Amino acid sequence: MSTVVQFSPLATDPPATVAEGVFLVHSIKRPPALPWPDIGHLAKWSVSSFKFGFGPECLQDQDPDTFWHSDGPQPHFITVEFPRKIAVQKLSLYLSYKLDDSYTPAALSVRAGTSPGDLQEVRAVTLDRPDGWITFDVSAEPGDDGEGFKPIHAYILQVIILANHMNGKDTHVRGMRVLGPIEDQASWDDPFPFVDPKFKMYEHIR
Amino acid sequence: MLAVPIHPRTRSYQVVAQAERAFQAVRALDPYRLWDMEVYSTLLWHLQRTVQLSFLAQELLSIEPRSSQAWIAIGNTFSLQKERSQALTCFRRAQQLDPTCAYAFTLAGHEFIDEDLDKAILSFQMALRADARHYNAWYGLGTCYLRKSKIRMAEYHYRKAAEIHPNNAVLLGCVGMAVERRGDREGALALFNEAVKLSPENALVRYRRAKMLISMKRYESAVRDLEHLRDSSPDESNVIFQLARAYRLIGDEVKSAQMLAIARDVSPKSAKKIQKLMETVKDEEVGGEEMDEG
Repeated sequence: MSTVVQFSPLATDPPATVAEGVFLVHSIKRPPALPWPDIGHLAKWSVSSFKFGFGPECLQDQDPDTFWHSDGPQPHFITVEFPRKIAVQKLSLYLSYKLDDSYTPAALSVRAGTSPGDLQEVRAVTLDRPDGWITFDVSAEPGDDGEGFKPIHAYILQVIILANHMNGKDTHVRGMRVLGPIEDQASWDDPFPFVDPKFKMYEHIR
Repeated sequence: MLAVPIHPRTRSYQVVAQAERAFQAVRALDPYRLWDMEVYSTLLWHLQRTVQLSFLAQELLSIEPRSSQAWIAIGNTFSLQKERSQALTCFRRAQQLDPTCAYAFTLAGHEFIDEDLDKAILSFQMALRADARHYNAWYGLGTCYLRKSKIRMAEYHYRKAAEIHPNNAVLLGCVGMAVERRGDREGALALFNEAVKLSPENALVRYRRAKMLISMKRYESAVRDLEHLRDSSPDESNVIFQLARAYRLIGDEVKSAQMLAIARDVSPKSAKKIQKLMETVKDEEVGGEEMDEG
């Protein structure tokens, strides 16, 4: 199941994209402060190929001036492997058409699964001259409360770069963050999270 | 010497406020005191007093930078800000400064619990190595095992904690939950009854007892508990929803529908969820017995 969402930074002002709930664009270099917790550090990151000194560590180092530079056969991909099944809500990528030209990804596919053998596409994205941190949901299935999208529960998440701008061969990704859902403190038995302090104060001992 | 109420969350709200006042008095009378200040920092953590907690941490640090209490307070400050890795660094430093400080290990365990259960278990076990009577660590281990669905292990550890601190209603409620998941309803109900008796103001154990009573088909008692809870905390969707369920199971469709309307008002976002849940309640009526877990 795939959905392609057209994205054009030239025709949008940020509030409009926020309202759509599809893309969040932050045209800044530093990773933006987002309400979703960063869960990337729990995982093992790997990439299909890289130029020496431009490996997967450049994706996570919070430095907008370093980037992962692929160096091998297509398709290029980033694999994020978690030690256990985990809920993933969003992906945040730092891409810059201004700096990277034909190295800038234009079409991405997000896959998820339990092992490298059973990955399924959960989301396809096309980008048009992106610049900045682009944050989008990994799934296209609407959430229960009619807002946003459901998180995906998976062991492995893979971002495949299907195409670059101007048919570039190798690719640059300057940063990537994997974000979990906003913590919903509902325990396994109770349908709703407790809100009243009369309940909350008895939930845990510390 | 002031009596220090050590475990704020197990007591009622009033007692928590009393504890805070007692600690404030301690700080005024004996500003350079380090002893027990890690407990004060946890109290402030529970009350979510970000500013006071940060201030306490800074003061303790300037009094004695090599005390475990100071680093526990700093760790709690970070923990309240949800800065997990920073908090862990601080708790680790507290452990290194005082390897006999069981609480530093326990707090590290609590930080790990959402991320890495195995590391959390290890931390709690280290706490027990430092102090085998540190019931918070036994409780933490119980929680870890419950999350791993190792029900019997969870029950064992919760019971150990409850043995050390027998008058703690929260712990009894936890033992009750483990017993319930094992499938022993009567046993769980007895534990919940005791917990409610020990601490009548503890809304959570009363709620658990009501749920237990519903699953044992003793709807009248369940409704009594739930109505009491609804009156004391009217905004709690779980209570309203369970009350709707209980009314429906008694056969009082009017009151059930009324409760559902209230539930929708209280949390309009969950309207779909409520609808779905009520459908499963209908299935229960047809299917009779609920499925047991564990």
